[in-house]
Parts: sequence; C-alpha cells; structure tokens
Amino acid sequence: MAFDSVRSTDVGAKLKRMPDGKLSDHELVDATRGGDESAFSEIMQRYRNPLTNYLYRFLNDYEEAVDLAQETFVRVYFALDRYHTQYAFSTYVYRIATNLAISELRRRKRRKLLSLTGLFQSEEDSDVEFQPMDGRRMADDELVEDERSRMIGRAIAALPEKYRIPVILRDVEGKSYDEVAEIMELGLGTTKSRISRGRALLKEKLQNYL
Amino acid sequence: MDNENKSFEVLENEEVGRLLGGLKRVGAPKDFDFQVRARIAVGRPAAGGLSWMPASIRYAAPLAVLLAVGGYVGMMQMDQVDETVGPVIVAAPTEPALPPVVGMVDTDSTEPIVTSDLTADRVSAEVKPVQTVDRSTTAVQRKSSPARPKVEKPEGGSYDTAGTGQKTIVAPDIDDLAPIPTPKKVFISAKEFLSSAGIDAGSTATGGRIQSVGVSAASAGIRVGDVIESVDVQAGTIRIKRDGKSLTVKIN
Repeated sequence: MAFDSVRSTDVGAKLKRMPDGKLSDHELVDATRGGDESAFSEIMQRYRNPLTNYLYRFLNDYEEAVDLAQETFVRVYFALDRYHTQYAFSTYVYRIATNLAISELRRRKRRKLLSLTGLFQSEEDSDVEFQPMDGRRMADDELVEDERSRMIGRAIAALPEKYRIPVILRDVEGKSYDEVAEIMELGLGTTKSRISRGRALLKEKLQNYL
Repeated sequence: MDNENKSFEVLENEEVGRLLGGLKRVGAPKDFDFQVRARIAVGRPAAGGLSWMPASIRYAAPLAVLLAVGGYVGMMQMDQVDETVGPVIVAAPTEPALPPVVGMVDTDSTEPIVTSDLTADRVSAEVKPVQTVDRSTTAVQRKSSPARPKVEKPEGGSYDTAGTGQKTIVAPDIDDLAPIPTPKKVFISAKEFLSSAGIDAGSTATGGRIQSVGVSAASAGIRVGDVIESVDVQAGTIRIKRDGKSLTVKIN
C-alpha cells in the first residue's frame, strides 16, 4: 500500500507520528508533494469536518461554510510547496480558513451596502441555518435544542470578528490558547484578552441560556 | 475579595465557553472530497485582481463609462451646425434709407443729367448741373452732432476740442446742404419744337394750318386742320384754333 511505503520513510525529527500509528500531518504533506493523492485524501478526511464546523460557526451559513472549506483545501493543495514544517499543519489550515472567512464577511458587508433591501436587514436575519441531513421528523426536545443552537449561533455571528475568531477556536473547536494565538498571529496575552472579552459579550446576549 | 470577584468572572466566562462547546457540531457533506478534487482539476484559484469587487460594480462600471462616452459624442454631434440646411436669411438692416435726391449722381460721373420724355436728337429744356455728395466718406452717424466747443487756431481755422483729437468725418445733414440751383434752359425754335412733336404745319402760305399730326401730338388732342396760333416752347404748349375756338394743348 502507498501508506506502508510512506511510513517506512525517514522523515526527520520534526515530523510527528500519530500515537495510533497513523501518519502525521507533515508526513502526509510530504507524501502529497511526492504525488501521493491518497495522502491528500487523508488530509481532507482529518480536517473537513472540523473546518466545516468552524466556518459554520463563524459565518452562521452552512452552504457558505462548505464552500469556504472546499476552497481552503484547494488553496492548501496549490500552496503545499510553500508550506514550512516549523509550525503545525492544523495552524496552517485554520489560518487559511480564517482569512477566507474574514474576506467573506467583508464581502457580505459590501453587498449589504449596495443592496437597498440589505440596508434594512439585520445580520441576524441573513444567515442560513444548518439543515439536518436526514428527513426524520424532529422531536420537541430537538426542536428546542435546535432553536437554542440557532440563537447561540446568531449571538456568535453578532460578535466582532476579532472576538469571534478566538472564541470559536477556543470554545467551539477546543484549541489551546497557544494554538489560537498561533493561528491569529497574536501574542498569548492578547489572545486571552480577546477570548475573555468575546465571552463577556456573549454572556450579555445569552443570559437566558446560562 | 478582588480575587474572588475575578475568579467569579472567569467562572462565568468559562460557563459561556462550556455553552459554546456543547453546541451541535456540523459535518462536511458526502461529496466534499469530490468537489475539492473538481476544483483542483479546474486550476489555481484566482489570486487578487478584482475578485474583491462586487460583480455588479465590475460589470456596471465599464458599461457606465461606455454610455457616458457615447452620450458625450452624441451630444457633440447634435450641437454641430447642420451645414446641409440652406442659408439663413438674415433680415435686412433697418437703417432708414436716405431720401432720394434729384440729380444726385456718383462722384465719378461728370455727365449732365437730361430729364425729358421727348425722344429727339436734341431735347429737353433742362440741363441740371451735377450736385454731388461724397458718400464714401459719410460715417454711420446721420444726426447732426451736438455743438462742440471749438478752439481757434492762431493761424486761423478751428478744431473740435471734444474727442481724442482724431478727426471724425460726420456726414452733413440734408437740410444743411445748399439749395439746388434752378437749372438753365436751352431754347429751341418753334419749328423744331413742332417737328419734334410730329406736327407738320406746312408753309406760311397755309396760314399755320396743321397738315399732319404725329402720335404724340395726336395723343395730346391736336388734329389735322387745326390752326396754330402760337407755340410756347418753354412751357411745351401749342395754342390752336379749331372751329372758331382757341385751345391750348400741352405736348408731353
């Protein structure tokens, strides 16, 4: 198998091998550079769901989140030659996704300025909610949970982007403070401060759910 | 106390973090990998350019420029004078024409004026001298200029003190012109006068009885057989006798 041949390669001290024996991200990147398409498929397998979830919480729009997640992988693929192993591959991927999301936010603002109807439309009304994949009828509890999730999503979407990004990375995606700081290219203190401030703003809006 | 407040605040914030952490997670669709591969097959994503610009502006701006240029060119063409149209008729100047002056001729002409209705070799009792007015030097101003103070030059003559010192030629008023002298008249003989009128009075033996009448005499009323009593060449009249009555007939 292609993975066996890749696993036996000496990839250097900086590369991390996964505890369960799976190839590390850097090994997969190297394999992709070498022309191994299955390595890139493995990369997508690992990061497509977290990235989609992250972008969905950021934009509060599922379709847009899927589109930007796909775009992220496309850019990663074409920029593999420029990727350096000095920092984690997840940081690299999330940084690309964050930049794409910020660009989309700004594009939305411009579209709203140009659109006459958009001037009278709040940001909360313009989001596209996540639709469940299956066609099952939702129970009352699920409906309540769904409404709760929708409200939290709107509250997050209402945060300024400089607070929204670290809060989602930390609290939704479970990244460490160091990882969040690395993705946002900020100092650790600034990152913690922004997370704290973002949570405080959310607390004001989500009093009923706390 | 302050530390307790701070940890209370941190705890509250952590509660928010836990709330967010408990949100339902969404996943990528089943065709996610396929879509990514399709995009990779298309090629590199566009870097920069005008992708940041909304499509409406990207396409509307060049169109607006085209419309503006086209409209400007069209307006410029419409403002041009249409040379195919016929000449514009301009109303003649309303400057009143000078009253005709009898006997006025061009300054270049020295021929005497002859006024007469008679078509003869030597006709007309009136020969008027040439009365000329040098129109070429007349200015636009027709009205008599107001009196200006004149300064007498030591050597004689005078000049106007008004103006810048340049000479202004002002046309004399018609009323100021010298009266036209009475033209001199040249007398011809009565026989010549009658002959010019087409009247044949024969010889003295006939006693002045008219033998034939020309057209002009006949139109004046003279008949054959009338007896000429007298001829006033100056007045252009002939006194005749017909049927014992005397008549004075003017020959035109």
